Amino acid sequence: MKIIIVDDEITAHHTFLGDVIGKTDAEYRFFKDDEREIADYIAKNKVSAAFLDISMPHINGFELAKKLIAISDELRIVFVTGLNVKRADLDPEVRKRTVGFLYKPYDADELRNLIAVIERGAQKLTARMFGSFECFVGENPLRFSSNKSKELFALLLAYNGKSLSMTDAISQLWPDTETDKSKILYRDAVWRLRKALKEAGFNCVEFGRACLFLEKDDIQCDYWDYLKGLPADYNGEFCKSYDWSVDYLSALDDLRKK
Amino acid sequence: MGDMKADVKTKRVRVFTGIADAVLLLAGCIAAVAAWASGARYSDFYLRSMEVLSITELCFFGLFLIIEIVSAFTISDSTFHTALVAAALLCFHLTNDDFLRTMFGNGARVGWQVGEILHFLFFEASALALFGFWNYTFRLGLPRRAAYLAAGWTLISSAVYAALYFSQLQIVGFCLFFVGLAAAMGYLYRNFPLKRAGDKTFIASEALFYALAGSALTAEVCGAMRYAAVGISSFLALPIILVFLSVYAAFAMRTDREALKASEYKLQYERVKARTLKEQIKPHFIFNVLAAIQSLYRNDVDDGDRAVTLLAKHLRTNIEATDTDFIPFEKELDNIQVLIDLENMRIGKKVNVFYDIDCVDFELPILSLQPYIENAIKYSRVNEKEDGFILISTRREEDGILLLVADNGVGFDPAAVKPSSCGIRNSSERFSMLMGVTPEIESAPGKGTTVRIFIKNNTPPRRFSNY
Repeated sequence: MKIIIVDDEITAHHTFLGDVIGKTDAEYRFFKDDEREIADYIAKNKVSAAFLDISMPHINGFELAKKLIAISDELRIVFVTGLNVKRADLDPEVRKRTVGFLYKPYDADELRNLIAVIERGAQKLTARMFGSFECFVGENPLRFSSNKSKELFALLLAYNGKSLSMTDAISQLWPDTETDKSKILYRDAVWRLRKALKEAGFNCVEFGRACLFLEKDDIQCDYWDYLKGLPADYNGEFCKSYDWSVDYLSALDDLRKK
Repeated sequence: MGDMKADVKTKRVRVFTGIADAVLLLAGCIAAVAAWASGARYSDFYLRSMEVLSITELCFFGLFLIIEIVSAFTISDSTFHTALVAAALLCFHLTNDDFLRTMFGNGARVGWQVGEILHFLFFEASALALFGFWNYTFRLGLPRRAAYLAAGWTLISSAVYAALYFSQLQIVGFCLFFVGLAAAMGYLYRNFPLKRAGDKTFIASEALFYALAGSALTAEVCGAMRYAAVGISSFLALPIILVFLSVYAAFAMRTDREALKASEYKLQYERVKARTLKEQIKPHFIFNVLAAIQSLYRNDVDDGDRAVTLLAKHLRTNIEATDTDFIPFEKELDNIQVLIDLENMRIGKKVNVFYDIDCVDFELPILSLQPYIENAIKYSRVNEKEDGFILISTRREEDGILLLVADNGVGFDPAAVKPSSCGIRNSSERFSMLMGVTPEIESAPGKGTTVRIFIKNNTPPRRFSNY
C-alpha cells in the first residue's frame, strides 16, 4: 500500500509521521506542494491515500484533493491540519473520498486507525472473551475510559444478542453497592461505553431506556463462534477477573467435553 | 400595533384621555351652541376648506385602517382590535355631517339625518364590539347575562332614539345608551383589575373608545339643536388622527430604542466573552501541563504523545470558543473529559468523574461548564477522599432539562466566601445572557457542592455571532 504525504515544509515533525507509518505495512513518500509532480506520481503509481496539509502556499489542500481524486478512482484523502476543520466543511465529492482528519500535533493511535481503515476498508470489531476480555479494531485494542464500561460490554457480549436490562447489569456488576449509587455507576459505564464505541466508529449497541441491545453483525467474537461449534481456543478461562463469568464456565466446560 | 403603547403608564393615560375627551366634548358643544346662537354664516372659503379637511381626514382614516390591518398580519395579531377601531372611525367619518355635506351639498337635509342615525348605530355597534373584544382578549369571563343586558339596553335605547327622532329629542335615547356604557365601564374597572401586560392593549382601545364617544356625543348635541355646525366633526377628528400618528411615532421610537438596547446588550456580551476567553487561557495551567509532558516523555514516549494530544485538544477548544457561542452538550462533555485527563495527569491522586447522562440533545454556552469542574477539582478535594467523585448528570423533566454538576468534597459556606471565582461569574453571566438561565450553587461545609442548571423547554438561545 502506498501513501503520499503532502506538506509545504518537510520539517523535523515529519519524523513522527514517518516513524509511525514506518511500523505499518504502508510505503510512504513525502511531497512538497508541487501539484504537477504529485499528479504525475499518482497517475503512474497505485496510491491508496494522500495525506494533505490544508494551508500551503502554492495550492490549498481542498483544491488539491479535488484535482487528485479526479485522477485516481482509488485514492482516498486524509486532511492533516492544525485547524479545526470538520467533515461538514468539505465539498460533497471530496467528502465521499475523505477517510478522516489528522490533527496536529498527531495522535499516534488515530494515525494507526486511519491507516488500518485505508488498508482494509470498514473494520470489524473483534472481541476476545476467552482468557481476559479484550476488544480490537483491526490490531488496535479498543480504548475504554473505565474498567466497568469494558466489563459492561463484555457482559453484553456474553448475553449474545439478548437485551441486557439495567437491573441485570447492576446485579452482576455492582452487586454490593446501594441502589442509588449503583444506578449512577451503571449510567456512567453506559455513557463511557457509548463514547468508546462512537470514537472507534461502531454503532453496534442500541442504548434504550434502562436496557442495552447488541447488534451482532459487525462483531467477531470467539465465544459466539465456539457456541456455534466453530473452532476457537477455549482453555477453561472466560472473561477472567469478572465475577459474573463463573456462571458461564460450566456451560462452556460441558460444551468442551462434547 | 397593539403592544406599541407599552411605554405609557396606565394611570396617566386614563387621566389624560378622560380630561382630553371632556375638553373635546365641551369645546364641541360650545362651538355648536355659539354657532347656533349667533346664526353665523360661513364664508365660502371656510366651507371649501372644511370640505378639503374632511376629504383629507377620510384619506387618513383609510390609511390607518390599511396600516392596522397590515400590521395585524405582520407584526402582532393583537393589532386586530386597533384595526377594528380604525374601521369604526372610518365608518364614523363616512357618516358625519361634514363629510355628508361635502358629498351631497349644503341642502342635503335627508342625507344629514340618515348620517346621524347611522352615526348612532355605528357608535352602538363599535361599543358592543369593543366590550366583546375585551372580554375575549383579557379572558374577563363576563357573565352571559351581561351580554343579554347589553343587547337589551342597546335595543331599548335605540328604540327610544327612533321613537323620539322626529320630536328632536332623540338625544334622550343616546343618553340612555351612554349611561349604560358608563355603568358598564365602571363595572369593569371595579371588578376586573387589568394588571397584566395586555393592559396596554386595553388602554389603547379605551382611549380610542373615548374619542369615538366624544365625537358621537357632539354629533348628537348638534343634532338635538337641529343644527349641524359646519366643521365640528372634522375638528373632532383631528385629535383622533393625532393620537394615531403619535402612537405610530412612539412605536418607531421604541423600535429604535430596542435596536439600541440590543446593540448595547451585544457589546456587554462581547465584554463578558472576551473576559471568559482571557480567563480560560490560564498560562500557568499550560506551563504546568507542558512541564508534566516533559517528565512523561522521560518515562514513556507513548504517554508523552497522548499528553500532547490532550493539550492540543484543549487548546483547540479554547480557540474554537473565540468564534462560536454555543456548543452541543455532548461536545462540551468531551472537552470536560480532556480537561479532567489533563488534570489527572498532573496531580498525584486522580479525580473520579461519573457521567449520569439522560439526554444530550441540547446546547449550552461554550466553556460554560468547565469553571465548575475546575473549581471542584481545585477546591473540593474530592481526589483525597476515599469515595470522592464529581458527578455530571442530566435529567429530562417535564418542562426542561436539569443539568447538575455535583461533588461530595469538602464544600464551603456560600455566604462566607467572597463572590466566587471569575470563571464561575463569567460562566453564569453567559448562561443568563445567552439562555436566560441562572446556575444555582448549593454548598455547605462537609456536604459537597451542587450546581443546578435548569434549562427550560423552548429556551430560545440568543445568537449574536453567526459564524
